[in-house]
Amino acid sequence: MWQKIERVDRRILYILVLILVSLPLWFPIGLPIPVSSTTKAFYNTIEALPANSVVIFSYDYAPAAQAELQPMAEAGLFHAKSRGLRSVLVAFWPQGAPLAVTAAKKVYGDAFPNVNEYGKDIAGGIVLIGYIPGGAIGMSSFASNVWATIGVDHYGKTFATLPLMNRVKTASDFGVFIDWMAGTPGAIQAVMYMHGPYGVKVGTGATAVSIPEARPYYSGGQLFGLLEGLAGASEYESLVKGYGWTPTLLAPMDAQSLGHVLIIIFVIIGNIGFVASKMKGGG
Amino acid sequence: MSTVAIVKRYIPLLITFIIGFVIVLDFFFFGPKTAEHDAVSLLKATVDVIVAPAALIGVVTLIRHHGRILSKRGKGWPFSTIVILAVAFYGLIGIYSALSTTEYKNLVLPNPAFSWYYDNAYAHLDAAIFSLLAFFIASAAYRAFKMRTVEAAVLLVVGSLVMLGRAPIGGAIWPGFTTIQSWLMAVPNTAGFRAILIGVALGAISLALRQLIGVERGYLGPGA
Repeated sequence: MWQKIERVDRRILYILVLILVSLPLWFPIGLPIPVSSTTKAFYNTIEALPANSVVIFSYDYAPAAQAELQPMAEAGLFHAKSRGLRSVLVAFWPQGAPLAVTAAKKVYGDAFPNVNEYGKDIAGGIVLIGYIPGGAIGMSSFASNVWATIGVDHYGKTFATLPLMNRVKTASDFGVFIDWMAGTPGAIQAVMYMHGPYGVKVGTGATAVSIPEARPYYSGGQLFGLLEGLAGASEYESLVKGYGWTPTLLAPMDAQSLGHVLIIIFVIIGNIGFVASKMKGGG
Repeated sequence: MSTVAIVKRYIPLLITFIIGFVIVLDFFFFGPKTAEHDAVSLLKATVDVIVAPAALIGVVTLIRHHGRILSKRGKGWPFSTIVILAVAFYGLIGIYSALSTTEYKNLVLPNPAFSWYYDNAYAHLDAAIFSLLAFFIASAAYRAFKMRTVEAAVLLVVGSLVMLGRAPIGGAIWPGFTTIQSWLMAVPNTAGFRAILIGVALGAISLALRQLIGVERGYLGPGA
């Protein structure tokens, strides 16, 4: 019997995961979401920026990480717009550029880029540069000389025709650099090429698996804030809610909660079976 | 010294040394907005010129590799067929879109056909495949998280505490889970990762120096 407990058919486990993760999406529980210190630090830094600052958002992820990173990427852009900051959207991952377009359309409307704020140095002004090739070297080049690295935006308009870009020539002109990170290049490379040489404040929202690697940079003061996976996104949404943002992650966080509990329960069951069968076998 | 050795070994080594040395000089000594820094910035921007042909070489290599499997009906040949068809399809819609509209004359992603394919096929397939991890992780955790040794028991307890503390339900059951998780991430995790990162950085510096002075030549290919 103990061996049976230890070796439950994986299909039963899959069905339970499916049920427990799906149910809260239709019937949310509404568990409270406490805000962590890393999320508060991220939010407070954006709050403290002077109103005409330029924020560079870097969409360094692929659709695989969209569930975790897209909500925070959209809330971040909304936060910047609401504060009257100027946003410049880039991507050092080729798959990131269309996700930046999706975020911009969510915040600025489906007419984007045909919106009043596009290219202008006004409150809520925005430019979408899009994909910058070269990985980490492309990031370094972008920090050194934005115009020489890529002279046109995502839609083929030259920077000379976009008044906002007149204020964005090197990393010294960035108010903050925010990297939505799922791997390399990401916030770690931004710390190397922007924070180190130019003193740019770098913040990140990252997938949960990237967080352990990013943590030392946060505690070392090289990252000003950290949104940790879906939970961090959810915490950040609850703060940006004050500007009129509609949180999207309450139900997914409930699903994550139940998923985690299910895994822990099965780990406990598996271990009870393991210990019992070991004792019975005298091993 | 033969001409082949000069061309295959010494010229690439000289290029590597000069470019690497200039980049290192720029990082440590050239201030922003100086003429020297601007010159190095232009040098770095040439990476685009290198990346573009590299992408083309990547496509050619991919097609050659899968073409060979397909022609020999090797292992997994149906998947190779799908790869080749997908590459051809993506290329064709790009060429068609570029020729059929004057507005989107740049072969870039806002091209509507590219965007449609990306939004409606690629994005969903990529997200769906990644989401399967939820099932695999649940199954793997159940099977692998066993208290076989003291170290495994510590890993099990710490992993469970972090999982509980990161999800809202942990804080709802007992607020202490959130505090413990926060401490685990901020102290032991950071200490461990910092040690790893410093070790990796020292290794990377050592490798870079060896490449710069020509001791490490593996990147030049065989025979160099």
